[in-house]
Amino acid sequence: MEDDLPTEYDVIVVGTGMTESVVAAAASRIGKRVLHLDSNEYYGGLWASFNFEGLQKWMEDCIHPVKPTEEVSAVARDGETLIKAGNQFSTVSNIEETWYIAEELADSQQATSFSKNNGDEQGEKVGDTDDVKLAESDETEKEKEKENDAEKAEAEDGKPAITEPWSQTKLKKEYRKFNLDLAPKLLFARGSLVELLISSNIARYAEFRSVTRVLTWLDGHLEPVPCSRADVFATRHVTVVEKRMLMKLLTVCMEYEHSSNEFEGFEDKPFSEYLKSKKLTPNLLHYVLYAIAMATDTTPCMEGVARTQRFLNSLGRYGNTPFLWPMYGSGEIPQCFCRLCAVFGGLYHLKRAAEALIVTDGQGSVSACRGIVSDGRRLESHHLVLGVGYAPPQFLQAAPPGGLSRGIFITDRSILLADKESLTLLQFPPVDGSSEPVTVIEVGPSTNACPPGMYVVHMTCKQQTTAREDLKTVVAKLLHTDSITNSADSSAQSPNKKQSEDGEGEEVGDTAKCEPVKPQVLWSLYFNCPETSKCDFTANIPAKVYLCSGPDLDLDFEYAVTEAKAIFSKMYPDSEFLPRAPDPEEILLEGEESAPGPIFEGDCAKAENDGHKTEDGDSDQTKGEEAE
Amino acid sequence: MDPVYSEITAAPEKLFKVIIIGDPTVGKTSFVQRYVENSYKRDYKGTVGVDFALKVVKWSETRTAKLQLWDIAGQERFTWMTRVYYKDSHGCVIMFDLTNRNSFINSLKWKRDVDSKCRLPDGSPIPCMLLANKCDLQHRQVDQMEIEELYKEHNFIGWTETSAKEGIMVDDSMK
Repeated sequence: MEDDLPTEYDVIVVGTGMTESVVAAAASRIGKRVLHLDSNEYYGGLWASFNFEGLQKWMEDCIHPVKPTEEVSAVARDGETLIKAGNQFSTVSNIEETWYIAEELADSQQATSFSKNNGDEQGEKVGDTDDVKLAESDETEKEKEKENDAEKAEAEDGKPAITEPWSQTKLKKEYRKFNLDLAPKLLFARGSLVELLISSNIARYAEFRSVTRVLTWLDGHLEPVPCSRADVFATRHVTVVEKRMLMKLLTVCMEYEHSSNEFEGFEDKPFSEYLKSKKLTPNLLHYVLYAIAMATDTTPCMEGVARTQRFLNSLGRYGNTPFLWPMYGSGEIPQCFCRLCAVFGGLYHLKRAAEALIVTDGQGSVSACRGIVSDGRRLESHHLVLGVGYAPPQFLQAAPPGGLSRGIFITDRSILLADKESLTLLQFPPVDGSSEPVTVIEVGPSTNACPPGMYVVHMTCKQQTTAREDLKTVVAKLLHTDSITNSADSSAQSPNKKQSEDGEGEEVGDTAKCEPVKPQVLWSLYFNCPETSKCDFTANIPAKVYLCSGPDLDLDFEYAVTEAKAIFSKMYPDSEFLPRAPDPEEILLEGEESAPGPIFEGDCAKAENDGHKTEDGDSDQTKGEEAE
Repeated sequence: MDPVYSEITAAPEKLFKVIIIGDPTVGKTSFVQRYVENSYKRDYKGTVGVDFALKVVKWSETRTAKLQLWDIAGQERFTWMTRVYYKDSHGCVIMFDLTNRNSFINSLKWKRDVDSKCRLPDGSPIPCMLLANKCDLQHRQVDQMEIEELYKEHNFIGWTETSAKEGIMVDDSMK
């Protein structure tokens, strides 16, 4: 495409990660001229989600990075210096991809191919239910949930069992149906991102599903954690006495205000000690500490209380747990903000890098940024927002203090059977000498993470050594990783399936009692990437440059949202951060509806016959999954 | 609310999202304006912050359809689109400029971008219409044989020449 890019902006944003995208949207929203670049041809950087093919390409690019750009100096003026942009803070390492299934199936196995329609039907049907649109009214959402649940339960009965084993070829053929996240993130139902999406009206670009269950690992097996009041009373894993204790404790944490003296004497002690002092049974202590507070043995007491409150506060808004998961993966979220930025005039150019920063002479913050050099051209801006991945090395005093260990697993069933497709969060407590908890998120076909008949398991923890090594223990406990590469063995997938059918009719609460069959891993990917949220982004940095960290260890997007708000308020202290964007009909339909367009005859686009019915009132923004 | 709404209480109104893509300056925005103009007199492009133009189409006595025409509107013009833009669309218009050969060649790139990022719920590709705009102008750089070939080989649902300026085939092509 020809390069008639304007050369002057209020804000240039380099990198389409979460923080960068939120800042870009916020600046564009208040009328600033924004240029948003990314050197990749996809959005999101290390926050991206890919289909299977896209992920292969991403790995390829990580292993063989593109050559550094040629030197450019002609565009610098007197009193200016060029600082080359870097890439070491987005460097991904220890990439290990493994197949556990045969490349092709033997002929006999292929003959028993299941009807493709069944699979598709299932996907759509589920897509129609449990959808969460962020709305200001909580009540209607809840009602909708209930309706959906009823509908769904009914629909489940006729569910076809998919019995054919997977081969590499077959899995690759379905590559479009995957959305695999580099940085899987959940949203707390009352967290700052949900509130921001609603208040800014960016929610209209996104769809969510509620996480259906929270699991924990206790005494060598998986157990559902009772997190809502209803759960607590329904669960069979907890005695009546324990139920009362748990409710009481949760109420105390929830209602805690600084004036009360409930936690007196524990201020300097770990949360776990406080819990022990309440004489909780080991079961309950485990639930509260690891699953609800998502803490460790050493988490300070008041932090534990705050984390418990955060969990409880988000309960009851959407679905049964406090969490939402973005349809099509976490990589959608930055894109929603990019779209808003574009709609308000922001200019986008992917596959375009900033080779260097133009700064005035001087050391550190004495100097100021004037813009960037991109494709050898001088592009000026008042502010430069830079993803840390592009930051020149001298901007950071030290290498990032830590990293993330990630594992992505495509499996043939859920880690814990249930009577319907589950979306699972499991905070795996530190076990067997490993010091770090592992966050496990399991998503299924209804989130468009994978084709029907599969699940995707994401694991994330703090990097100690390599991703594979760090996650080894948890992988061994949850998943089957024996390779079944020869065709005789690959039929082993089928007998296991039989057992999964048996479990299907049972209640959720019952399934845990029969020893679950571990999912067979079909494919896995490990990698490490830097964790930059703890970096010091203030020293050594010229004025008017704002660095944005990459994906952090936390479960949610909270850090990026906070960071984006801080950057925006530094740039435009007196402006509102992402005020509500008007709906299209608020602008377009002012009394002009009475003049409909020319009459169209015949079948309006027969190829489009699967359009959905509109809901009264907000039809124009309906983003629901298409239903048959 | 108004007559349109009272009519549709009998038969449900359908909503279609149609995305319009193609290289810069091929006339996407003019096309949308021309198409929507009958019902909207205002210059919608002047309105910042709008995702799409809306057109109510009556396609029988009792049935109407709302067309959301998603336009790049001069914005994401240097790049591929976010999936947010493509998502849930029912149809797609890929437009090129008959007097700009490059824009014709890029039509295929746009088609691939759509197909890789978006599908109908049943898994089939989004129906794409190929529009050869600016047919009112001389100096064509693309001949009809080539267009026919592209249309056949890459699963477009149809193609036609249009002129947003003269209003030729604008309505027809959207049927």
